[in-house]
Amino acid sequence: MKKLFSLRYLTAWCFLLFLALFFLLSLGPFASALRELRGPDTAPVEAAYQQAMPRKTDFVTINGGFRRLLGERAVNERYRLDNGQLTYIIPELDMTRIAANTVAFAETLEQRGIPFLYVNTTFKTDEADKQLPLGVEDYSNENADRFLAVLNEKGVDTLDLRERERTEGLDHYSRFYPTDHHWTAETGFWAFTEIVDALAARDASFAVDGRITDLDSYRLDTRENIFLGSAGRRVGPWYAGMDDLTIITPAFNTHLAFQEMDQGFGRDGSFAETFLFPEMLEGSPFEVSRYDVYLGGEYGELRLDNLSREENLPVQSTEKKILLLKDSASLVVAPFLSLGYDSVRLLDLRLYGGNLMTYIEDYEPDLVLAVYNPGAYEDNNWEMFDFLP
Amino acid sequence: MLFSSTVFIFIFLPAVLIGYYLLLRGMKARNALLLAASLLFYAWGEPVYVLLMLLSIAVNYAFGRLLERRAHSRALLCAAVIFNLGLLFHFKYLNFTVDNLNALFGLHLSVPALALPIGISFFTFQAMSYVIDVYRGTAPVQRNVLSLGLYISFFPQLIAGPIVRYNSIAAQIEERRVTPEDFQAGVCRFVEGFAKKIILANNLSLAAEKAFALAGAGEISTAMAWLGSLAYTFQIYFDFSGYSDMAIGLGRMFGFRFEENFRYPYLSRSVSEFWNRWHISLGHWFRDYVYFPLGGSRVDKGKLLRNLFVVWLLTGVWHGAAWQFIVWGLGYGLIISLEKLTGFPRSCRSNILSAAYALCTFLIVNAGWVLFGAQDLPAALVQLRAMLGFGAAPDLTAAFYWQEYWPLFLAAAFFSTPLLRRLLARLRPGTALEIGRALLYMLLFVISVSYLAMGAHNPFIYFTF
Repeated sequence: MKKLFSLRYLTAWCFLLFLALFFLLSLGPFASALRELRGPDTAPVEAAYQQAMPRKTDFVTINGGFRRLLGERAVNERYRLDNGQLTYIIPELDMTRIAANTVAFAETLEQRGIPFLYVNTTFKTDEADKQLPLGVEDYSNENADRFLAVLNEKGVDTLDLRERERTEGLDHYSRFYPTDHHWTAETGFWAFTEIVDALAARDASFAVDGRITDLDSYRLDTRENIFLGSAGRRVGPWYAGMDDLTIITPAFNTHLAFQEMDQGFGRDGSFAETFLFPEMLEGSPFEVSRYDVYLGGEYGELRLDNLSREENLPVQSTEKKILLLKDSASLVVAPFLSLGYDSVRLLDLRLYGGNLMTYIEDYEPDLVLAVYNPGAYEDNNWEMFDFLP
Repeated sequence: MLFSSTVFIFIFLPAVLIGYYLLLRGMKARNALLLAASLLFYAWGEPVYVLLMLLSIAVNYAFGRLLERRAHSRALLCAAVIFNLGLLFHFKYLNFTVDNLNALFGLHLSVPALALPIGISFFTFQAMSYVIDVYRGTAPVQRNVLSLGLYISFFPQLIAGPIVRYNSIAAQIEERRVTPEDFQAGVCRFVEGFAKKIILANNLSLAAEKAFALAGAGEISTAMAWLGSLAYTFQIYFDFSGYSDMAIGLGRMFGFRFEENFRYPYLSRSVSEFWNRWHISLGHWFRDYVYFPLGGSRVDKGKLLRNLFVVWLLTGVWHGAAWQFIVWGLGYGLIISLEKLTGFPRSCRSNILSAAYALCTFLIVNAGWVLFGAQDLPAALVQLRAMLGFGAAPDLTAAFYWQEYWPLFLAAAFFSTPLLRRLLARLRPGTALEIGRALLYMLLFVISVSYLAMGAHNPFIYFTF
């Protein structure tokens, strides 16, 4: 027995202890995974266990660290840019169908006297400075160029935020979370001001109180190393690092209402009480997306109402109803847009199951905005462009 | 089930080790556990074909018992071989044969498309080894059907070898003991194989598969053709030898000693030497059960050429039911025949010429793997043409894969040699060495598991075997 515990067998003992520990930790997850066994095919069990295996995120972290050490720049379908940020890539796509859908939608709205503005957001990869590994190509911006060219040719009103960024000489990459494909809250706020400026330039009645678009009227609370973005979660913090996240709240008094229509939950109060979900700052960064601290995540339909005029608050919204067709980039735009206008309704056509035109007829918006990033063109997102029945 | 799966590592293996060492005493009980575990291992993912394996066990057991009563009955041996080869033919070669008959004679014969039972080539060859050894009297008949079942289905070498000949293992099934040294050596060997498979082979397969896909589409550049072929050369070595290491290591954890299957094959100085170092258990099987019975090399040149042709045709066919494998096997047969007839390079006195031929050997093997791994014969020819400089216009694909995986290419080249083993052998035994070894092996193991947790690319190269 004494011989068995000799240092000479340390490797075997370590191996056995490791197996024993993980065997015990795995019993529960494996028993749950076995419920997936509905026939002779055991692949669903393996997949379910793989998902639930103990300490999975620790292994992802270790793997990311190892691959960073090896200098790999393509890990788990995410690419490390020259500046260390992470992104995914989009292939060259045929834009004909979604461009035609968008043009037809704009024409339908025009017939009903409803203005439409298509807002093209910036994408993680900068067209002029892609920073991608050698031999890797991303066509997000090229796809957007071709798409917007069709829209402009057909007379659809567009706002290309990439152009605005270039015109203003802003540093592209610092405006995104390094570990995520989303832009930062500060960039979302900037996008909000650009949209308001564009709307006011087209129709002065869309102008809002200058304090609402002035960042100096807000409190900025930056939490350091708190956010692991969707790309970071795929490769772990040893590969990606962790991001800071800023929470922007108005310094002026607000009274807002939030109504989520799928589950039917709602709340009202100040900006922080209504639009912020601080629970998204808690828990494992692998499991909770800090980005969702604004509005709490994605919903099919969300109604944001501003009650400042009713309550005669010092800073008041403009009497407009806006329908915002959105992707996730709008989570950090819509809350500020809601400060500017009486009613903002958000529809995410990936999740919303109803008829959009019927919705518009019922809501009677003063404006329809589509705010999409070039990642939305991928074929798995095409329902976002199925505007008409 | 695959060794390179989290279910095997964290559920199956610990459960079998616990049952074997903590719950059971006595060889019969432990063998019964290993047999049950092996059948479960096979049934996991192949639930229907486990019945095929049970049939193989039962029928070969019956043939063994009949051969015991009617020793040296050639008819019985023929019947056993026909049964085993019939199974193999039905599942592996029937579709290929019918397709070619249809193409050759303009027929419209149809057969149902059958999924290939994993590892059928391995366990069928083991089963034949048993009946032939019993017929020859070089091994005793196995009267215990469970023991024979364990020999045919033992999970460590069930799906990817080594092909264990019955006479080399018969005694170990009945009586074996595991020392702590054995167990530790088994663990180390298993971890080495696991890391070779997961870290090297799986990652290099990404470059190889990209190259094969580009060749299939006729769009491969010269640089990518070379990079892809080298990636596959290393992938198949570390995949296959990694599986063999895992099998040998697992076997040792349970007291079995399997023969080595690889001995640094890419250091070979001739093609004949390469095949003495690559998939040794298959080479030995063909040597013992085909080549020697045909007369081996102690015959006139005509018969020698015939014997070599038969063995290499069968070697090619064993690897897969497609023309590319037949061309690949016959190509090796041709080169080895030339080496045997000319005595080159064995008789060569020039070091420079020998070194040049060693390089040539590597290039031949490398080109052979292109034939082996390509989507089909035309795609293989596209890639080989590209390697000769007639590829598509240069692009950055090769640059990307080199940039991503150059450390792994270098590591693969290094671990294709015995340099590390020699370096480690020079270290003085002691506390520091043992702690260092434990840390190194656990680090390798954890990193390898981390790839599984990531759900990283984990191809299985043996589906066609």
